[in-house]
Amino acid sequence: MIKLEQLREVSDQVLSGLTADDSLKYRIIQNATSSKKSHSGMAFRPVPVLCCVVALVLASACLLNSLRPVSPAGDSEIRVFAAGSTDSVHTEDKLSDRTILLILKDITPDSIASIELIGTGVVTEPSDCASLLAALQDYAGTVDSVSSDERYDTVDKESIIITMDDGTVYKIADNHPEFDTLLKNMLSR
Amino acid sequence: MSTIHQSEDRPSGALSFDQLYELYATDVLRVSYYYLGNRELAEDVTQDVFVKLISNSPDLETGHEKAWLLKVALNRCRDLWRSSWIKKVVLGHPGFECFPAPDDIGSMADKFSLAEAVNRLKPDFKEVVLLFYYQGFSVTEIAEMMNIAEGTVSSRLSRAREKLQKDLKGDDMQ
Repeated sequence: MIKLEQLREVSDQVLSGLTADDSLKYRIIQNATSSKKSHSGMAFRPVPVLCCVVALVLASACLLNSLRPVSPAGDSEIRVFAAGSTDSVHTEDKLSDRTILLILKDITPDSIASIELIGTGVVTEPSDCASLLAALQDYAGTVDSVSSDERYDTVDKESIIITMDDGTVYKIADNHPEFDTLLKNMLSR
Repeated sequence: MSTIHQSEDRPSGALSFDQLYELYATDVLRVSYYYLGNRELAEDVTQDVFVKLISNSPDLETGHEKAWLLKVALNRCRDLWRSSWIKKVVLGHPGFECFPAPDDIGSMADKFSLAEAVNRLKPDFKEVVLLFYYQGFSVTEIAEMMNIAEGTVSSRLSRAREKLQKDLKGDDMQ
């Protein structure tokens, strides 16, 4: 029987083919060089910074004048919900399959800023957003076949968050494996 | 407990990147691989660690370079482990495999079993086992590296040994 005290020796044998070679070293040096270059390009330049600050203040002032709630509060129009999550619980009892379909039909691909799955990643490429939305719309269309227990992810509390160009945020409980796979494939490209 | 280890020959004087890479990169890579069970991710972690070393130029105390590198590596592994992406895509499909040199492939079943059992330990246990049994740090050094009490390190080592003993169905791992 092998003893734990032999772990060093065992590891040196069973992982002897796993070594940090010159190609990894080259990758590290390349990476460090490029990150240093990008840091050196970030030297403080007072004029552009001041211009940005002024522009930001002006933009904030304009935005404050035209600010509107992200989630309209009307009972008949549920815009944000997160079943299985702690926020927006007050809307949970109003959820229906039709609501999901309604929300997804309201969204058009060309006005999506990003689609995010919490803890997984964010997609901002318009064509990818369109594909993900199409997948979600299919999901909403077939939601009747999914039992209510399975539909809302209460284990990982993951949600799909769709942010529109105008700032509207849609939060949808997630457990749809096809959507998950699609998003991961996009992120791994 | 810490007396079972011989103190390693640690280099003295400020070491260059090349020297540190030569001395410790493989250890960082293998510890990361033990943690994550994925070769590509372990290489990414090793890359991150050494890029951080070059970019931040930390003021490393002589003889503590390896501890710093492994601490950064374990922190990075922990971050990755917590990401649900990794859990679902990589770790959801256990893929820990051994990479013996071609000449070493033979009757190594026991050794593979031990390596795989260590890989299957919970992160908290795996970290202390790797640092203590694999990298030869003392309980005090591990406590300092991980910012936890020495008693916690000892208790995790003890529980890890029990778990491994059960896992391997052996009785001489005391």
